[in-house]
Amino acid sequence: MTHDEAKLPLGLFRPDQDDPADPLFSEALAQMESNQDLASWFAREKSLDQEMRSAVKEMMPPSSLRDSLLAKNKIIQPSIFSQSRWMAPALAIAAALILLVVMSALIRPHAPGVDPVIAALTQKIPALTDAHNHAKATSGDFAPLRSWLAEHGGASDFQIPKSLQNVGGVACEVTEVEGRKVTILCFDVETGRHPHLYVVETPGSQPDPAAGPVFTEIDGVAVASWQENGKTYFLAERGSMESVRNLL
Amino acid sequence: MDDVFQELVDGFYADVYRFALSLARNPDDACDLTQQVYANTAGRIHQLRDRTKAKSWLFTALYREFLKSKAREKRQPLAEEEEIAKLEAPADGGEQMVSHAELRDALLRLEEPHRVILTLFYMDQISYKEIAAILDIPIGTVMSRLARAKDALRALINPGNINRSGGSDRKNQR
Repeated sequence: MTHDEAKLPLGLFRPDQDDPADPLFSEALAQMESNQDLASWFAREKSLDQEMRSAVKEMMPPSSLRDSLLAKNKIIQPSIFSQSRWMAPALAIAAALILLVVMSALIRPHAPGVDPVIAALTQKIPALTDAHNHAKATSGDFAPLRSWLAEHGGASDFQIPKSLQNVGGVACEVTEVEGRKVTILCFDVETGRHPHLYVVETPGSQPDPAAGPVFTEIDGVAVASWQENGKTYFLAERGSMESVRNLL
Repeated sequence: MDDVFQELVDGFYADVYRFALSLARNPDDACDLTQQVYANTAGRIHQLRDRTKAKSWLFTALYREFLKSKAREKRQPLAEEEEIAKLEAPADGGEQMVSHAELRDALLRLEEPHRVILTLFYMDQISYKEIAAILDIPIGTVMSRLARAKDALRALINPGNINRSGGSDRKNQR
């Protein structure tokens, strides 16, 4: 490690909270012990860090903010949490009914009845969309991704919405829901945006050609759903419905 | 549940506000963001299984809320421009110490990815792993982005003062 290379980890090392034995920092810290120039640079760097930390700490919230946060919660709280015990099952039943309505909304334009795989997948979409840990294969090129997906039992002949066809970073995996394979593609659209495309085989479905995508929100996740060539697609993103619409 | 909510407020609201200010760059929007995050949180406290992760849980919620509001306001010029204009008078400190106000101004003048990651870096007790989770980026990206953000910060601080805090080394490297 050269003098200059050592500056990168040293610049990021926070003496009061990072572990000096962490391999990320240990070599550079050891080098610093025998290099006076590096030690002087480090001292200046940490001095700036300390000043910056103080400067950030001085960004104080208005004195009224705490009370305002607590007061607003008291207004919200009675309607959500402070109900008598019998309300808990009632709320659970209401939640189940809402979920059923959502599932029906997703399925109704495409096929009669509720496919249990689709129903289960619908429930899982918020958690799957938040997870971001499904990068079993990653590529900006769809051909190797399709091959990888085919090898792992996923769909390989799926359609990708036009706006996502030239996205540089795509991660994917194949998961199983109620015994059926579900292909998941996670697109790295821009900082902080990761729309997910879920593809599941639904061979018996007979979509109405005139029906467009169905839009719904599930636990804060905007979802567009449609069927095409024996497959059901869900495009989901935590955020506004408009963002999802714009991706189609 | 009431007690838990109050703990979340008392323990973290100041840091949540600081992070919100670094995102929104003006105090009113920072208050709004903080309010929104706590309002959303009130209904989801049961999802917080590990109290030790409360801070990064709130920060993650805040960052997502910010991205959502940014997407909503995409077509409108940001209300922050006026505030930013106030920050643009460069500090003419000569050999003087850089004041904390000037350092904050420099931080808030950075581009969003840089100021966001630096704010998290300079807050107490947020690990690199947590920063990666909050911003939803790999840890390697956290490190490289932080290094670039610190370079950008130094470049914004008056050169006379940079010599005091490490900028001269950048010159020597060239």
